[in-house]
Amino acid sequence: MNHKDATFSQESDSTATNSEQSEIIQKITDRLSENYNWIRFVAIMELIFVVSNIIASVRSIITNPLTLLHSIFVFMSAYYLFKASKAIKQAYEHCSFKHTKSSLTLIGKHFMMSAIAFILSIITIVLF
Amino acid sequence: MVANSEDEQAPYSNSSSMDSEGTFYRNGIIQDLAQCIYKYNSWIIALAVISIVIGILIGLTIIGLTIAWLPIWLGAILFSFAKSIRIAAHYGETAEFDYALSRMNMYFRISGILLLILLAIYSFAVILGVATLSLVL
Repeated sequence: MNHKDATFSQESDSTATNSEQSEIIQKITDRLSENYNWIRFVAIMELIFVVSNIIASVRSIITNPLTLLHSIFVFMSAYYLFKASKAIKQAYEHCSFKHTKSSLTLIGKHFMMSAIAFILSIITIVLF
Repeated sequence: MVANSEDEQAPYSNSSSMDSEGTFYRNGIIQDLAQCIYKYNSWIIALAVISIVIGILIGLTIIGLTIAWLPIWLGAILFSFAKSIRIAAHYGETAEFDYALSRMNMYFRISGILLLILLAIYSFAVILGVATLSLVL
């Protein structure tokens, strides 16, 4: 990834605060970019997990809709992670606040999907 | 250079409780970014509780003890992550936000390793099943 210097085009009185803003965003994107490879790795692993789970339990997916629902939520979790990794890459390259914000929101959505998937798997185990 | 000032500046101008301009912006940015994850804080806590419960359940078996500490650790990390995000979202503390991001980094590392172990166990079971089936037939 190429890291651009975070400077702002607006020439005004608030140049110092703008540079401070960009410095903070740059620090945050640096921190987030440390996660980049691991986020992609987890997303790939989750996708492999979903595919292998579907292949291994085709019959159970047909008979038990909760299993299918669980797979869908794990897939969604992986999807949000992929999107988050893309946003992190863009935030790092352009040092953009918008992309940093969207990457954090997507990571939050990943947490939500993972929690729902875990709850569904526990319900499946308890019920069947 | 990149001119992305439009989205960079708008969100920080609604706070007025800070002393200097620098502190004002710093807290505004951190608060705004932390709010993005803070919306999902209850889910993060739920995930932490479930991870710990699953870890305890895995730990009930002797073989499971070897990997039971991983989901428990994951849950503990998520708890501290949720706590730091809450503080960062409320008070805009840079140190807390930085700590939260480092916890998040750790979470992804551990969950990656955990998924790798699970997939290895899963494929080992499949191979064992296929081998047993071929021996029987």
